[in-house]
Amino acid sequence: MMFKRVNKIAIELPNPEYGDANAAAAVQELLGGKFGEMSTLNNYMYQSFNFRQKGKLKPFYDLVASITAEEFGHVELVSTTINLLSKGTTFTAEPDLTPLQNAKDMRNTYSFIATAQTSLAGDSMGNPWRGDNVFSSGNLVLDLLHNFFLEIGARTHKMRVYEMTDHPTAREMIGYLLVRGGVHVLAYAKALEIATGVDLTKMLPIPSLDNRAFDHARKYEEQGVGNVLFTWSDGDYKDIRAIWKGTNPSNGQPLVVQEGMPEGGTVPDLDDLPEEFAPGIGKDDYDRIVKRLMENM
Amino acid sequence: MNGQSQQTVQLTSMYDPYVYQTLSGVVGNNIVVQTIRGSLQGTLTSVLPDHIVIEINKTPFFIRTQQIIWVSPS
Repeated sequence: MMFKRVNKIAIELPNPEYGDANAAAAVQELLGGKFGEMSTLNNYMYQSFNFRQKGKLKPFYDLVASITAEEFGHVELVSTTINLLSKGTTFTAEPDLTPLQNAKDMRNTYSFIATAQTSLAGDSMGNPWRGDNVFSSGNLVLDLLHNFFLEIGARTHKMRVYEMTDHPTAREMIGYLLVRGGVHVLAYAKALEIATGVDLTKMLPIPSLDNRAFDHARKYEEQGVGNVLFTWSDGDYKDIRAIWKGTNPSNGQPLVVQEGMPEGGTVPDLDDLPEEFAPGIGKDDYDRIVKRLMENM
Repeated sequence: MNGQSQQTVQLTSMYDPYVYQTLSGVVGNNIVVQTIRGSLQGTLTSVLPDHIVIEINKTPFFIRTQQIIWVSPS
């Protein structure tokens, strides 16, 4: 496996001029929590690295491998959401004027002390993400069953964080990921059905709440985002077609495999934060840096 | 009632009149406003008896005077 990085994020995120630091702290659970995007990424990543009989069981390997790439993008999408939510708590002033004074009353002090008001590789309580969140037993059906459960848990957590904040950036991200999470739930259910003959879609969804109950997910459902599985590759992983086929039980529409990746949105830039000394490059420093960069080119 | 004429007494009071006066003098300046929930930093564009308007990246924020703790130039 080799990754090729594209400077896009999964969707265009709204970027209003106000944040909500405590909402950012809650959204951390969707990044570095047990059921966060770092967990889905690393579970599928290690399962794809460790997969036995990649040739014989290729559609299953292709499924876990391609979804790994999508999850990597989700990690950046949730991180970016946290970064945009983190604005507007502190102000620019000399250190003696206590410009970070409001940070004392925010839930995630690491955000102000450790990461200069950006994402943390941890959960909503500041616990670091850990490798023991990865389940890679090597037994195909057991791993698929785990992934099915992991996606349902992730979806439940997203619904709850959605209920905790109405900030437009958080809701847009969660609305989209609820739909994509629904795709992955169905993909693993279908993989399990093919592997075992048992129809897991009969017990879906858990909890019994349709994505359409969420305003910000409805738009993506109507666009058909919930019917598509991407290969995230220029030519590999196409055998997910053998699993992602038939119709979507939630809307009756045909399931589609699309080669490559979605168009995506712009990666937002972040303002400098002098009170955090981040990035800590003043105008004079910058002029000198530019001069050095341009030398001998 | 009781043969007495009814008189309406109307009380008019401004919130924080000196805050209003002081802020009116710095319209157009960059300020930090600490509110009961967080701070805002931007250009003071307007001051009214019960609220002020701060612009951050061309987006107006309307802040109730009663929710302001302190204001400082920035």
